[in-house]
Order: sequence, then C-alpha cells, then structure tokens
Amino acid sequence: MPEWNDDERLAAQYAAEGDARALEILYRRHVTSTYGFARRFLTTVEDAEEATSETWLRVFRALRAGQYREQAAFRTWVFGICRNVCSERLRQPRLPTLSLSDIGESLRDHWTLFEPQPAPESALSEALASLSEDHRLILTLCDLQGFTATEAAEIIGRTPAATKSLHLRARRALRDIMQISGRQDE
Amino acid sequence: MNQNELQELIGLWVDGTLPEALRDLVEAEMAKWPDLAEDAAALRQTARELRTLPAEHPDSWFVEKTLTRLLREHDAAEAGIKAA
Repeated sequence: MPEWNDDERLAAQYAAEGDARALEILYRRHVTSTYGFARRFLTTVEDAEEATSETWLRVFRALRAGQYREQAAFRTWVFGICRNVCSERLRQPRLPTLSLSDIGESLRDHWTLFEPQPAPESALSEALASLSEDHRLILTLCDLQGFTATEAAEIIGRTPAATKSLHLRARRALRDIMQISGRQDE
Repeated sequence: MNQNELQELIGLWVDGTLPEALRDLVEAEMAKWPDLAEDAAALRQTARELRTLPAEHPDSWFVEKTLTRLLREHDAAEAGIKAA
C-alpha cells in the first residue's frame, strides 16, 4: 500500500468530486516527466507530444471511471498508462516521412535562407535510441525517471526479479554500444 | 553466494545502493575476478553517464494546449452529469 501522499489525495478528490483544480495540479505536476519519458522512448518530438496528450486523456477518463484505486502510487499508475500508449504507438504502421534535414537537403540549392538545424544529440542519446524497445524502456524508467525496480516492474508488468535482470542486460547493451563506438572512457 | 545472487548485488553496487557490509562482500568477490570487476566498473560508468542526460521538456504551448483539451473534456463530462 503506497503512502497516502498528495498525488493520491488529489486523484481521489478528482474521482469523487470532479474538482478540475485537482486534475490541473496533477497534470502540471507530471506532464513534464511523462513527456520526457515518451521523448526518450519514442525518440521524436511529434510522437512524444501525441503520446503525452493521449496519456493524459486516458488518465482523465480512467479517473472519472473510478479505475484508480490507490493500489499503486499515482505516478507509477500514470507511467503504466503512458508506457501502454507509447508501446501502441510504436506498433502503429507508419507512413514514410521526410525529416527536416531531408527537406533541407532538397531545398538547400534553391533556398539559401533555409538552413535546417536538427536538435543536437549526444552520443549517449543516440546509443540509447538505438537500443531495443525493452532495453530503452527499462533504462528510461529506472535511470532517467528514477523509478525503483519494484515500481518499474509494476509499470512494465514483469516480476521485480525479471525487471532487475532486464535492467542489467539493458545497461550492458548500452555499454557495449558505447564501447564499440569508442564513446565511453575505459 | 551463487551467480544469480552475485549478479543482483552487482546491480545494486552499480547503483551505489548496497549496504556497506554487502558492498565489501561484492568488492571482495570482484577482486578475485578482474573481468567481473571491469564489467561492473563499466556498467557503473554507463549508469552515471545516463543520469547526466538532460531532461527533455515539452514546449509550453503544447502543455497549455493539452491542458485546455483536458479541461474541455472535463467540462463536457460535468455538463453531461448535470443534464442527467
């Protein structure tokens, strides 16, 4: 049973009384971390924004439907929803898209004012983005969002032991990529 | 200590969350196996680097747009309750 902290009280207040202020406080408190998780897990801004919007709509609907019952900490519960939304998004068929840099390449000769500026990405960000979905998921939850293995286990639907093992394998996979590309100090 | 137990403890050592007595035990094991020690040190370095990645922040326009949409859904749901 989680500690009865402010998030859980606010969620219960919204579910019972429909107090919009409680919903807004919860949203403002957690929207940045859910976006940050989606951004690392899905890797593009567009996907992260769509996943974050969908997550909060589902949170809102689930609260109104009385589906949150404080068995889990509110933040863990929200991330479980966010993780499902992101996984569904990864499985959606995608149309081929042009990146800004693709567009820039094609226009560069014709429009000298247009200079695409892709977001600077560190070697570590790129290595993280190149991992398998499971590995990226567990590293994002535990190392970037600060969830414990037990909390992450609830979010991803595995046992704590399996989650710890996955976390160790994910770190090894990331380390291997960094070492192969010579981007980590020995 | 079997391999599974040692691996689990190494995971905690990497995070720096091992109690002192267990940390000494794990470090004694690692001292016997240089490959294991090297592997664990590289994992610890990877974990530290991961934690230095800057947090990604949503655009404030996006945050407000999504909140507006949420509150619109909230208002519609409340209006539905009152009408019923």
